[in-house]
Amino acid sequence: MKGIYTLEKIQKERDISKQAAINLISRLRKKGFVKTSGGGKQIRLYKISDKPLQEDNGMYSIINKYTPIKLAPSIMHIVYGKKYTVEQTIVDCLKKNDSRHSLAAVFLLNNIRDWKKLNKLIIEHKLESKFNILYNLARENVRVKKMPAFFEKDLSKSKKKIHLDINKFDITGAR
Amino acid sequence: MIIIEDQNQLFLLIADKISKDIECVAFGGTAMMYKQYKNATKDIDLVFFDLESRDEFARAIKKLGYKESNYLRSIYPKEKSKMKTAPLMYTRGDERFDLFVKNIFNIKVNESIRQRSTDIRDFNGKKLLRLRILGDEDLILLKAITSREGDFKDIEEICKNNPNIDWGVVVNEAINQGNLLIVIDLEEKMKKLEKEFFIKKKYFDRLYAFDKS
Repeated sequence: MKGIYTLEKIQKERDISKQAAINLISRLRKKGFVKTSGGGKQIRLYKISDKPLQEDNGMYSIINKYTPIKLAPSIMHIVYGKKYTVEQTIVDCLKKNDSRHSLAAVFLLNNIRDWKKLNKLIIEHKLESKFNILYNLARENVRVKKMPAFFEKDLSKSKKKIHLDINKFDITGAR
Repeated sequence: MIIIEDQNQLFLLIADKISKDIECVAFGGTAMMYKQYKNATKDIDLVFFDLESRDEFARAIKKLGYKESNYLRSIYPKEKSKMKTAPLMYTRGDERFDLFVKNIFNIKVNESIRQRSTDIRDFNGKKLLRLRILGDEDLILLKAITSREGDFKDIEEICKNNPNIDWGVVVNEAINQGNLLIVIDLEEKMKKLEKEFFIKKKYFDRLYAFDKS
């Protein structure tokens, strides 16, 4: 069994009762071979694989959860240990150097919970100038929280001139 | 032998011991395990982009009780084994770490190899340990240049699991490395593979053209 199934399809293919099909899915799910989508008004679909399905819980899951920019993952990003945060996602988006990721970072600015952590990460990865441009563009075009004074002070130290591949038309278009 | 769950736990422990964020590329059995081509591996093979990161990683695993062994240095040519970037091997019980810097034997781990490693595993401890998993094409190239028992079987396993191997990428990377030995080894393995998998003639021609030049 491999592919996308409905309960009826499993019943038909295996020639088993509805309860037996439910039990089979349950067993496979416990082993990590099944991913379920739909439910409620939508028909429930079961994605069944012959290998344990690995769920992307990194950068793209956060971007697609918090922003209107839906990005198709160009990498598979799986995180273990501490939860991967919005702050880390912003830094990774800026490091990507690509307009779609920068645009996604704009919409993540409203979900920052730990400005201190973001400040530390931005300084560590030398992204002060990029973040400055991104933040100013976002402030001009979308509703974004004001950054704390200590953060502003740290960012103003950076005088490096850089170009960020994003403009206000991108932002207003995505909004 | 180490299985993937144990390996993940081990990397999380290391992420708690390092004092700066580290990025490295996993290859060999480790990469094959993350790609679900294998269930267990004998050694954990990692290549770092700079010496500081490798040393920091080595420091962290020493804290976890791993001991340095001279095996890898002993199979390296004398002049190379004295270099700071010569590979290091650390063991503890059954597990073994092989740590390389920039080069894996004859292969230079360049930016294009890094870019093709699109499968990323982050171990978020006190610091971030980022593992890039080597792309299938580069895994094949690396397995092609080593003549260890089981390497050809691994290549076959990769080709079975991924029918969309871009042989153009494999051949181009072999040529870009600029080493005739790599090209010869790759051609030999491709010839062997041809009996089971279809590989277009143009890829062989490219290798032969390099040989003549």
